[in-house]
Amino acid sequence: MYESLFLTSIEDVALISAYVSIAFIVGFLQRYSSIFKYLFSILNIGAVYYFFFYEPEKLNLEIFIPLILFALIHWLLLWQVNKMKVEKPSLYWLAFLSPVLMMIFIKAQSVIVVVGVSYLAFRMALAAFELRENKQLFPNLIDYLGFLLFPVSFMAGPINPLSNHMSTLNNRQISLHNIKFGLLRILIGYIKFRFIATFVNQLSFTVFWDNGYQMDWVDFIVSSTAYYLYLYMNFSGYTDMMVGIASILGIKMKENFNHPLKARNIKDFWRRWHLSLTDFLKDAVFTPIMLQLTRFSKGRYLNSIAIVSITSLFMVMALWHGFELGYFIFYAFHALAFSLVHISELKWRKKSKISFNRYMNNQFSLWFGRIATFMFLGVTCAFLELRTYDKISQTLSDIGFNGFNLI
Amino acid sequence: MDNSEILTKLQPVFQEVFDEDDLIVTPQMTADDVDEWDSLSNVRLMISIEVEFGIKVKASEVANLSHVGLLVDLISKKLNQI
Repeated sequence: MYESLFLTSIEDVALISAYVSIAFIVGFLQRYSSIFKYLFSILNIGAVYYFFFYEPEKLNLEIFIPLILFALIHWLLLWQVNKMKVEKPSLYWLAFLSPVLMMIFIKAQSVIVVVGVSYLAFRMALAAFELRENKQLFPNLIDYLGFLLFPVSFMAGPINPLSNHMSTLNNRQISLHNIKFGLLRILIGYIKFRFIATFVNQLSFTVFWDNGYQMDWVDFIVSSTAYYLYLYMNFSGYTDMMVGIASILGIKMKENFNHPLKARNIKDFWRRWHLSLTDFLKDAVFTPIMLQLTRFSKGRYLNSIAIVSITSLFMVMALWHGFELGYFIFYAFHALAFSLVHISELKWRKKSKISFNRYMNNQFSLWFGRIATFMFLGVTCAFLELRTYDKISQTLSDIGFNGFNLI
Repeated sequence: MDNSEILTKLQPVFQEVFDEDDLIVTPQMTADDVDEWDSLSNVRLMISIEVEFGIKVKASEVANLSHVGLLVDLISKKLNQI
């Protein structure tokens, strides 16, 4: 999934090592002069261009320069939002929504492909969200570009909040402890990314999906579950390496995972998976929708409001991935399961707190829940891989669901 | 209204939202300290606080509240603006 410049060949390892070495020296020298802070940001911008846009036979400046210009306009918008003594909501919403609209525009067309655009757009929107309440956070232009174009998180996150980046950039902690921690995370991440993910990917045999190969539904569940494990090992391994590199450079990165395999239900799972994305969407999508609807309904229909807010959150996540049907099916299943867990927990707790607490503390129910959640993830993750209607219907027909027809 | 009065007034609000009669609210308290305190019940809490104190909170303000002490500060700030 995250087969990038990073770690796919010796040349790539050499390139990233060169970047880390220079960035480390520049970061270390920052304690002597703040000019090195700006040099670090400029180094980041150059590294992102070189790693993700430049090709020997094609400069790709027609993509990179508009991106920089868009970031510049966004910074000017943030500056305007920041200097207003009385807040103008329209200006804030423009700063918040314009990167999201840019992302939708780029994803909706197929002519230009911009690497990391979803992460970039959400970093910008999150910066607007944070700056609304924390005006001291406002960065200068160079720091802002260096934050948006930080090569470590540019392609696949984590969606590091501006507050995290700026607080550590202004107060660099380049220490032996952080270097040791960083190296350990890189090692763990590399083992997960290169070896475990590759191994479980062999078990997933996704190449047999959607190509007319008749398989038993049990085979499909095994295959799909291995695919889920592959996604987790690949994504979390990549994140471990990026968090590790950032730690060596004295930059604190938001963690993306909190043992998702331990989740006892889907609600619990989403408190543990892709946290940099879900935390942001919880604050910026879920809470405002639920607050407004609850106020509007004067506190009535709370369960219905919760379902609408949960579904909205998951649909935005689907949109963030792209426009393919598989994403929407995956997130629709998760919205449904999440809502069911939430409402049943609420009702159970209300009916008998003692019985609910007994269930929560029971080892059998814990492990049953973990296995059921794992299986649910395993089956639904197939939609993330299959994506299109044709592939989904072909695969379902291959495993015996011949009646599947949406139209 | 000072912060200790706000905290006292918050006590029954928390007890009702989280359905725990013996819940003691402290400035250091975080969402991790109450089993039922998740993002869904947090919205119910904010709405109850809006009704109790006659204020209105923004979603971006809610996002910054990592512990009850900050919630008390926010309520105090809002009450001073009225």
